[in-house]
Amino acid sequence: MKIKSLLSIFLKEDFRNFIVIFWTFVFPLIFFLFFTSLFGNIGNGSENSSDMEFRAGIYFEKPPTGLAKEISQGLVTGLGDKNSGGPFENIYVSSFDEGIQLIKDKKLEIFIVFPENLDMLNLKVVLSSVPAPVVKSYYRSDSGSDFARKIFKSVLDSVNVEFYKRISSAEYTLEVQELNKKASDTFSYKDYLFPSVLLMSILTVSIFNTPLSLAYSIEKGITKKIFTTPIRSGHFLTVVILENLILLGISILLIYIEGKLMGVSPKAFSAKYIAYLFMNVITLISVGLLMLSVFRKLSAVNVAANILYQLMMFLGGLFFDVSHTPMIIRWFVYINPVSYMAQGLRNIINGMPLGFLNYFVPLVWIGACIIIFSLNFKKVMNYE
Amino acid sequence: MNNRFLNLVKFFFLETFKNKSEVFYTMFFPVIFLLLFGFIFGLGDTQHQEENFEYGLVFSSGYLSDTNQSSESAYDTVKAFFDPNKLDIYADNESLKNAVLSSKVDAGIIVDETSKVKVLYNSDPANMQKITWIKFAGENAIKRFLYGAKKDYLSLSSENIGTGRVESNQMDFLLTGIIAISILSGGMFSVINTFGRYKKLGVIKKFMVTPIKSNEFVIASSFNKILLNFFSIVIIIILGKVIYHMNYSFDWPMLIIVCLSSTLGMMAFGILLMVLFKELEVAQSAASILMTVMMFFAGIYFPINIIPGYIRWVSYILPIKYVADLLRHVAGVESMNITTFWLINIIMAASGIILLSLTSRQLMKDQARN
Amino acid sequence: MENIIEVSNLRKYYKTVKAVDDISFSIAAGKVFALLGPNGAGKTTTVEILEGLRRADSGRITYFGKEITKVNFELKEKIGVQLQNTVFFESLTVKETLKGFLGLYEKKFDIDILVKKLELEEKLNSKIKTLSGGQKQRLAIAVALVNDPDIVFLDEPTTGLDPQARRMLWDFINELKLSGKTIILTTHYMEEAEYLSDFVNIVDHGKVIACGTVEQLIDSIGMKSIIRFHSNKKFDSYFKDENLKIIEDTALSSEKKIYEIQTDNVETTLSNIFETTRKNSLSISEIAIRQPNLEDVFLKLTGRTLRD
Repeated sequence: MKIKSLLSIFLKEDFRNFIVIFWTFVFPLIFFLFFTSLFGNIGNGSENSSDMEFRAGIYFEKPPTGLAKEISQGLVTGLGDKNSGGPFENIYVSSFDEGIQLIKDKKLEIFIVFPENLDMLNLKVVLSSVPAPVVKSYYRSDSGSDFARKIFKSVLDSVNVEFYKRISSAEYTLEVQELNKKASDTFSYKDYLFPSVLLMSILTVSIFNTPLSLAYSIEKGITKKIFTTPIRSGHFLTVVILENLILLGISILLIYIEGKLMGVSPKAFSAKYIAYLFMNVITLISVGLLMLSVFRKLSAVNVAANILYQLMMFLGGLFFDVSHTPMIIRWFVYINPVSYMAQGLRNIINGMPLGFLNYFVPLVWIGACIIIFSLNFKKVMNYE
Repeated sequence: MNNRFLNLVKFFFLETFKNKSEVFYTMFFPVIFLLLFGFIFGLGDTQHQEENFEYGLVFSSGYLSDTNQSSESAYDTVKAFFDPNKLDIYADNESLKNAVLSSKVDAGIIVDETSKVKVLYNSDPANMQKITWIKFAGENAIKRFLYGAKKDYLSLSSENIGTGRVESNQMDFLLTGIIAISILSGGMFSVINTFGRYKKLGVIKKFMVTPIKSNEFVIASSFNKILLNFFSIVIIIILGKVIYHMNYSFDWPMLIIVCLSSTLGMMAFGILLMVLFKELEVAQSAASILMTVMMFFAGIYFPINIIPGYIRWVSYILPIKYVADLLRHVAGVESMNITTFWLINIIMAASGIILLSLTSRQLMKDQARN
Repeated sequence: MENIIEVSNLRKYYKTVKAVDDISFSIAAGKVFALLGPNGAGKTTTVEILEGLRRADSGRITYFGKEITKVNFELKEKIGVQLQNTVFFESLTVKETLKGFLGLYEKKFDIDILVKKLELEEKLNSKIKTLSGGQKQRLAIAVALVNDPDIVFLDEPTTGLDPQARRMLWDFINELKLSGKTIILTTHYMEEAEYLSDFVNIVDHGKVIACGTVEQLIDSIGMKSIIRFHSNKKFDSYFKDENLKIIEDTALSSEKKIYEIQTDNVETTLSNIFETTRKNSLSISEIAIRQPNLEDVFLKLTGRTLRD
């Protein structure tokens, strides 16, 4: 009854706070939708590049003839052919200078110049000692132009291989196989992002909301007033944890509904997944309480929460690979419980087993946090 | 600028710098981010412009006996085809698979007796941007080796048309982009956070009753945040030089101008958000969302060109693209038509000043109300 | 009369400060007991020990005739606490706050009566952030009373309020006393202590420097009437005159030419002052005669005023 009364005070305050509602319930949903639509088609390789668009300037120093013509035209058409997945929009320019100017003005991502001696190619196929004509590509340092340059390099590379293939007696077939999931599945960015969004929302509540609102209550004397009433500190802590769980429960439920609508893998709805997620929730709540007990003052908790939140999120491999970062920061990846949680949640979706570390590291954190927090509890609450 | 204004600036200066956690936060948070993203995105690796990958290879025994070479030199030969990427030889398919799954190698290649080549890669979407290049480079290298394609029929030379004063690479672009983000968020959040703080302290009302003009209050109170932000940019620039050996060379007076005009523009943006949303907390959240969107639509972490066409237009209406261009110009990484340079500066500054003078009175009224 | 609380040799030292330094007192049931002293005297620490928020380093505390080592939940049911500058959750309404705290106690008081008495009816459904200072203070007192406590702790209940709001609260506290509750009041307003309390402990630097009823305390300094006046020239030297010898004590502010003198015999002293001024062609103004108060007691005991 006492717990219920106190909980209702805490929850009412939370639910009337725009910041809490927004960052806990609304933001993760927007984030998930936004990034799935933004990146949903990246990573499928070049097969699905119809949405990409790079502008390539094409210039022939001299119109080619014969085989050279056939090959170069084929190459150019391939680049610009949307239907076969060419990522370029070809723009034929009338002079070299015009092309250079266009690339400087950022009207092109790449400028390809086929040399005057391109016809040498006709000779080279019969006489291999003839020097190879050099196709020149001009680009800038910005990421778009760099991307275009890399694509063109790969394309030209495969053209070269094609020459040898035609004269070779051997025939090799190439088969590309994705590991890490069943061959029938196609790459699914939403399955990748789903655990990230869940963990991000757990981090928001446990590292931000709870420690900050507790630090505020302590600093403003609200907890002091509560401790003049006949409520046990254990009850108070229960209320704080229940408050956390309720906020998170709602937030996770909303993300699940969105996930269902967006067609996230059914494995994310399995009991194992949800149980593991629950363990993650408990771990991160403990970490939040630990942080509060170490920093105590509202302003210090605020700074610590901001930094810890970003570090745990970005160095937890939620959005990009962090397993190859330099050691200066990689140690944090290793001690960060979020790294193991993200990996664990993804393993379940990918039908892989959870490893020892996926349980062990979060459990160590829970243990350490509970011990330190309970030793510090009275000091934290400003209550001797 | 009159005495009263200077006095006000001094007053806020003392207030800001005595708040140590605030100073730390404003100055070092962007720096921490720089280090973090720098390491994650491999800023430290400026010697190699090209990203290098590591492949694992398994030759079936049948294939090895086909080639009349000792296995040792056969490996050397195949390694040469993969250069500059690294190649490790694995004994059997199973160990290669494990190496791929545990990210020891970026991709695995199996050549078996039936002339079949299998490329295995880890479909962990954490590598999603890299996967395309991993596959391209790996497939081409193994095909070249198998078909004996030592020489090119058509070779390629690439030239970076650097338009800037210095020879730049992609890392210079990335870092100048990060600095642009820092300037923009500094400008916008300086007003929003300052107001948040002063509103909590109940200071705004007290200033409303003095003969201080609203825009004087807004500028003076935000001034120190902007100053701090500038310091943090200077630290980032120096760290970039020292740690990452960046090529850029800043034209400092011009940098100050760019910082000023873009900060003014973004301050006005921040105020506009506050006036639009009334509630400070709502404005704060809106600003954070705007920053997130800007970070991803700035063409800094990945090219704008790969964003689906139907939302790509967002990049063109957000100021970040333009501020990043200005910064690259003053960093010497890229050059810009001088008229355009001043035009963007003037538009940013002018819209900033106009919005500031139009909205700060309304803002003060709104925020003093409760 | 039964003592509801007895405290003896209470001590609480912090690193550099002796916040409570060997304090002893007892509190009679149904009375208003005041701890009066300047800010930082140790009043709040003392009551927070009694409220169970802090632990004393040493000393004995007896509640309802039983010695206790810890303020347990049974005891917490019987006390109501209004803390100094309490803040409540801003987005909750007055009603929700009261109900929330009501839920934390076994014993419950009728909220409607509280709200009516403290004139909060109109604000019942308003959020706390919209309340005025006085309304917030009244809410804090209402929250302290939700469990119908036997003992009520009020820590600086009227600080920061305007005179009218203060007067209203004083009347309410008197009413509380009449309803039989024991009230422990800490304050640095001597008018408040004078007006409300039956028994006063004057505290300074963690020690009780005087205790008793208001009358006893004032009598203890042996002060008579006080005459205060303003002179156009310095008056100091004239106090040595034969006819002003009846003056027992003078408090001077030579700079401002304001003088306060104590006397047993107001009429004679006044006429002697007038005589002195006439003889020396001085002019005096703003003459006031008053009775000594707790402020004088404090001044006499410490040489400082309460507001220093």
